Amino acid sequence: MNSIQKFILKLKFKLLILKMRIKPPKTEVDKSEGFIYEEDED
Amino acid sequence: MSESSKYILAAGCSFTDPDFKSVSHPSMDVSYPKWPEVLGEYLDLDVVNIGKSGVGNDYITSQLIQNILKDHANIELVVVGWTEIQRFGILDIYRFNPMPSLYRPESYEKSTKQIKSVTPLFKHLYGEFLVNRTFHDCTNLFTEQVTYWFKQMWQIQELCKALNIKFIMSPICGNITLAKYQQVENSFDSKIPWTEAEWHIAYGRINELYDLDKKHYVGYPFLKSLHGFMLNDKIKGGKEISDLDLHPNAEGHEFIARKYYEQYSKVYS
Repeated sequence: MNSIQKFILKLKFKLLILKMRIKPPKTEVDKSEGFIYEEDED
Repeated sequence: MSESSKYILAAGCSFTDPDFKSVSHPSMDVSYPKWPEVLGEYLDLDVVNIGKSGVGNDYITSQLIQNILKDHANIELVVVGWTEIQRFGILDIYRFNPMPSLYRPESYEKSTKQIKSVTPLFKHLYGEFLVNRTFHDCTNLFTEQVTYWFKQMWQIQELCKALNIKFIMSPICGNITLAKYQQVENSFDSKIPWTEAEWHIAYGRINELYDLDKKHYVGYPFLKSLHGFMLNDKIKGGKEISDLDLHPNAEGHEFIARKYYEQYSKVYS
């Protein structure tokens, strides 16, 4: 990643965070299960 | 079979495993070609697929390094489907994913002996370094896990560059949102004291994110809020095996292969 790309991405982060500070987003509830590969014991 | 002796080396978890079996549907035929094999057809290259169900990024990295160092002269392209960053292994004996245990503490009694033995460690780790850590504390589990994963990707990136091997990678299974981590609150009396803004600040401050050569990564910078993504989010709604098994079906594997192919074409055409 070159310095211009880094600068742009860091700027995007700053703008995003500023937006979140002004209007805090609500964290959505995540009900997704993890991936399990072993059966539970009986 | 292609005429070239060079091949694609593919690595990853169950989303990549050529011998994948559905735990939710044991009798289902899931022998359709997985995304690396589909990609091999697109590029007319043979595929060596070392994907393995249940493994973490630690295993994926070590297997890739060994395979690349052993046979780099014959590897045309390395493709990686990175997995859930919370997973880890102990040698090649145990593979752990703390998230289901902490999300469903009521299932402890039904767990396997190995999960039972390690659940107190999960609770200690996530309690001490996540639930009891504010954004202003130096060390926290989220930053540590993401940084570790970025370093793993960087190692493979730099190894491929040093050996002049093409490479395309992507997170293919997992979730790094605050909401995902909040699932572990079910195992604790207190909540993770982080806001969404703090979560994003912490992510953006990880210097290793900027060491990744973004054109080689599908979904970079991997955050939905910055138009990034993880491929498992893109196969939701019709490209999964079922509501119970969220692994890709045949159409899902075709979709993932196309994403890697498009990225490959952007970088190498």
